[in-house]
Amino acid sequence: MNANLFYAAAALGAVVLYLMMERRPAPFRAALSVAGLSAVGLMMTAVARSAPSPDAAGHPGPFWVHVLLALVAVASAARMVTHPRPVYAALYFVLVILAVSVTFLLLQAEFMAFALLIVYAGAILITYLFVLMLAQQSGDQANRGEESAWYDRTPREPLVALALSFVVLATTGDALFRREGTMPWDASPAMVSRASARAWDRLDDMPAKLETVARDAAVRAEPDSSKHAALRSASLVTPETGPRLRPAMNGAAAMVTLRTMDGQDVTVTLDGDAAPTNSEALGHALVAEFPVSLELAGVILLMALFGAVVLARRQMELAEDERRAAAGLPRIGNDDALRRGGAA
Amino acid sequence: MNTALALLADAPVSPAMPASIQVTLVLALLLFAIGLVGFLTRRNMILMFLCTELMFQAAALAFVAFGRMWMDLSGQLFVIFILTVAAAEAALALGLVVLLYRRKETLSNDAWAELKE
Amino acid sequence: MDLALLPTLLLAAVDGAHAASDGHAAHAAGYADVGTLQFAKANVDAGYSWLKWMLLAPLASVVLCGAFALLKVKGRWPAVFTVGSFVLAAALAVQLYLQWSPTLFSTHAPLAVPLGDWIDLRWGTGPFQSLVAGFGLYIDGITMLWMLFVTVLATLIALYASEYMESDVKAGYARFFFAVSLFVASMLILVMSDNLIGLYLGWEGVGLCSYMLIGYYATQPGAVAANKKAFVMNRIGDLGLALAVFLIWTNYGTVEYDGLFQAIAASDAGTVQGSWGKAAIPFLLLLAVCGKSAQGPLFTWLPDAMWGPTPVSALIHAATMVTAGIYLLARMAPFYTAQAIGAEWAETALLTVGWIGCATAFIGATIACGQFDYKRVFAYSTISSLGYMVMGLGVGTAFGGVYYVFTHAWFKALLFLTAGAVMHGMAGQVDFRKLGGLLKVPGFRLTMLCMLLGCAYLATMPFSAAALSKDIILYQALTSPVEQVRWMGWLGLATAGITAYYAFRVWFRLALGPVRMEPGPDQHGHDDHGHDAHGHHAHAHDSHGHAGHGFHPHAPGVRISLVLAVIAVGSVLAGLPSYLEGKLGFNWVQRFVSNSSAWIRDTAGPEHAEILGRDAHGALFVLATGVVVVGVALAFVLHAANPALGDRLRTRMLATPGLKWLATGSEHGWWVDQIYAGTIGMASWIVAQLLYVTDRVVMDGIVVTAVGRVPGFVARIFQPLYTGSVQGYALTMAGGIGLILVWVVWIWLSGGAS
Repeated sequence: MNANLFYAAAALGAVVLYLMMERRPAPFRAALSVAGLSAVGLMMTAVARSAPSPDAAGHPGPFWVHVLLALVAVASAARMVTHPRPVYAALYFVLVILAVSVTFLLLQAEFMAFALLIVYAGAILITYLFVLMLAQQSGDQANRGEESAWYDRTPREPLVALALSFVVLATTGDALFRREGTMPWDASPAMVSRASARAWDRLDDMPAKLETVARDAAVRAEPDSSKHAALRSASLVTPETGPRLRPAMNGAAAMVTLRTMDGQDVTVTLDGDAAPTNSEALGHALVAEFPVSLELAGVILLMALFGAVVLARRQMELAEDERRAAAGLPRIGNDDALRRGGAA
Repeated sequence: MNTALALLADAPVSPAMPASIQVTLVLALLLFAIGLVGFLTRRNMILMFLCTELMFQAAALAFVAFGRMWMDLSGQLFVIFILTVAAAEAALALGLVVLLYRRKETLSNDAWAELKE
Repeated sequence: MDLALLPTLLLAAVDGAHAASDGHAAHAAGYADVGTLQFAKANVDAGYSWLKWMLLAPLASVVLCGAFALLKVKGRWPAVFTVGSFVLAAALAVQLYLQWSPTLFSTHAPLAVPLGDWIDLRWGTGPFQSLVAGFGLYIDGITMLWMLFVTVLATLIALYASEYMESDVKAGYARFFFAVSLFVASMLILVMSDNLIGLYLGWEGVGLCSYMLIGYYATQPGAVAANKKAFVMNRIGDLGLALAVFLIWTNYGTVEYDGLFQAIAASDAGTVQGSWGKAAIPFLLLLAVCGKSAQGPLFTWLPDAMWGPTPVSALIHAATMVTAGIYLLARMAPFYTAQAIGAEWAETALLTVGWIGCATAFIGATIACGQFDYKRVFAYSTISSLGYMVMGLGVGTAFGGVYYVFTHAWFKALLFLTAGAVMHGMAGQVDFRKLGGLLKVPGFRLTMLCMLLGCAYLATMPFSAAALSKDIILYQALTSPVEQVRWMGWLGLATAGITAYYAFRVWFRLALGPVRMEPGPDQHGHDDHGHDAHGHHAHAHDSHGHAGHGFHPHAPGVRISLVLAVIAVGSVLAGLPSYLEGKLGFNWVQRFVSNSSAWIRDTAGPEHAEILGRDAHGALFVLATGVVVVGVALAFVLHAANPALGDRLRTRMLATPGLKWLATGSEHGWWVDQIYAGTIGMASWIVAQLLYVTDRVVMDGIVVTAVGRVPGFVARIFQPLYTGSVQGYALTMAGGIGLILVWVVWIWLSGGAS
């Protein structure tokens, strides 16, 4: 890694972000965008130079798509942080989420990609947008002809914040990328075999799917179509010892035995296509390997639900009290603190 | 075309290209840093929380990238939990922000400096 | 059993007081050199552990009297406890004498009785790697002697005090007897302990009780000032003792007498030359003696100690506490020898001791001539007599010193007790110019006769016990081969004459002449004298409540008279050792001294010496008697035959400029107190003021205030961080994280490949 280039690019990016915080005339803004994007590009160059030349051993996404997505994400994030109007900032955030989601796809985390979109962009951000719009409604909207409130326009101590972030970014990056030989950028053969073994184990743990896939593979492999029916109704053979699915060819394929109704054993070879998909694997992992965490996550959400209900209840109570007071009826409940500190 | 199909195929295992992962990690770092800047700079309470969400994003991205690098599914698993917690936290945080807004009629967090010495 | 001792002791047994010095190689050689030292190892016998009751009985009395005092119980029980415990102690002492002394005189080995452990520090097994001091007893000849006369006198004086202090039954009775019991317990610990630390414990204890008792009348500023003065001067002496003990341990590795004497006996005279550590020991011990026995520069506390009640003066400041110094000198006699510290230093040490004793004796006597308070006269006479005892040890006769201690204890106690009886009867009148003719007053005859006996003994009337004992000292001094010592002897002789003069001055004025009884200040029961330290009336006040005109003296009661009689008889009997010497073949007191650590100096002078060309014994007798007769005659002329003559002489002296200083100086104690106040006192006051200013201004003002302001100062540095805004705090947090990251990445990780 070219440390000096990395630091310089980071510094340039920080300067650009600082300049972006105030409203600038158009040409300046264009220049700033160019500078910012080039800063990001330089950073990537500085880092990626240390990597060995890409080898098409597998098929993860090509390098340049990643770079493009990164540029989009960073630009959106920068705009989100500096935009004077909150709703736009939230929308830029949605763009960031989209870029990150596509990056997940490229990293073969399909489930996560869509989960991110649904949960983050579809739920969390919508909530934020609702609240922003609600809060803006009765807040101080326009003063002196400006479109945004003063507290959205003026950043708080930008210099110090940028300096600190620069320090965090630079040092973390330094720590991460400078160590040649200690960070296993290349997956070792042991890692590969372990990963494939894990994948076949997962499949082994899903007998229904395994049966379906085996049947399909057997049918595809059998040229004689008269046996197809028998094969489609064959069942899995569970050996006395060992897994049903036996890896072969260094993990690139696996063998499984099917038994037809008339007792014939057919050994089927499954290749990489038969491996479980990302969603299936994730689902299996959640339930088989981390059930407690799953339950706890549920509990956390339950707590959040309770919290939200409690928070909302107070408001309702407040509103109720006001209405009853207006109508001359006595109050419900005896929360003195609320009465004393309740907003008008 | 083959490449595109290959992109979407469910291969059980294949190592990632190092340079891609590194770029992804740089992206995660950048997002985190920008999120930090936003959190420290913005005076709007809601946007402050939004920037923390950005930092969560960066973390999730880093998890997934490392998971891919080491061909372990745990990275994505952890991201699921992060998402869960982020959602819960966002809900409650926004609820509180709305309450605070009702007290002071402004979203600026300068209004809440009562512990000042 | 050491064979070298045997011939000496056999000869001593045969020849009595003037044993030949054949066993000692060196009386002729150098007066500090007593030949090779040998000490008998103590005989450890736990069968005598009943001796612990000698210490426990007074201590039990202490506890009981203390309880009475704290609970403010009135009554005479404290006196009962005290006298009872003293009687028990005396009985035990006598029992020990009867039971054990034959063993002592035959084996010459002291008795060691282990009673308990106290300090036992051992950090190694070598010779200088332990400090062991236990609660054991070490009884040799001088211990035995002290045990006997201390307990007996204490019993008698406590009995006397039980009547004397009657008027205080409602007030401080219990406190008084508490202190007296504690005093006797401490004194016994002092003489009976088997190590220097126990001796120091007892030393401090008697000093403390002296303080408590001098200041008994605590409402009088004079008494309070006097007890502070006594304690401080004692303390100066204690410093000397403490340093001596430290040096002893450093040089000999042990503080127990047994081991110590063996170590001294084993040391080689050649190697100790020039060793200042060892040579300092005798001088420091001398400092301790000066403090405790009111010698040398530290004598001024004793006259002021007369602010305490008279029994206290009798017991503590005449008979017992002040003799602790002489005990120390006798016990530590081996240190004043050539074998211990080298001939040159030993001679210097002995001469120093002798000169201090001699000078103090002379000065005490001269001051006593000018006092009008008869208690103060006796106080100065004590100083003078103690000077004789110290001189005796300095000129080389422990026998003389110890014998004089023995006889002096009796007659000085007698003198003080008679003075107390007179005071008690005359409502606290201590100026003998205002009293007279008491011999004729009914009820006081016995008192005055006892006082006559006491004054006669003080004046060393020929053939009296006092004379026999004091003359041993003078004999040793006058026949010494060292010229300086002979001068000491002549000066001592002159002092004897002066002593005779002032002793009878007091008695003639008090006993003879027309009856005159001016009551003292206690007539109406309050004490409102403002005294200065050199005033004529530095005495204690008894609140009597004599109201009305026509003063009726309060004659001494049964207890007082009984005690006076007993002690008078005792004073006479104190001479028995000398009277019976010819018949028994030995001197009872000398036998004790011979079987103690002071045996090296248990004789007096060479047998056949010459004074002024004549035979020493005869010459001394003539000279001593002569000076006594001259003194008494002078006193008779000036104070008995024609008192007016004495008064006119004084007036004439005061008028003559040349002689005025003599009279007023003597009356004011040669202004020693004023000199001390002016020099040491002023210097101390200046230093104290400086320290006070330093404390207030520097310490309180600057240091403490500065330290107090520091937290506020530090807090204000960090105050701007507390803005109350979340982002400000987050900024600080991020700053911290940044710092940590920087440190980790640039400093810590850079330790590896980069």
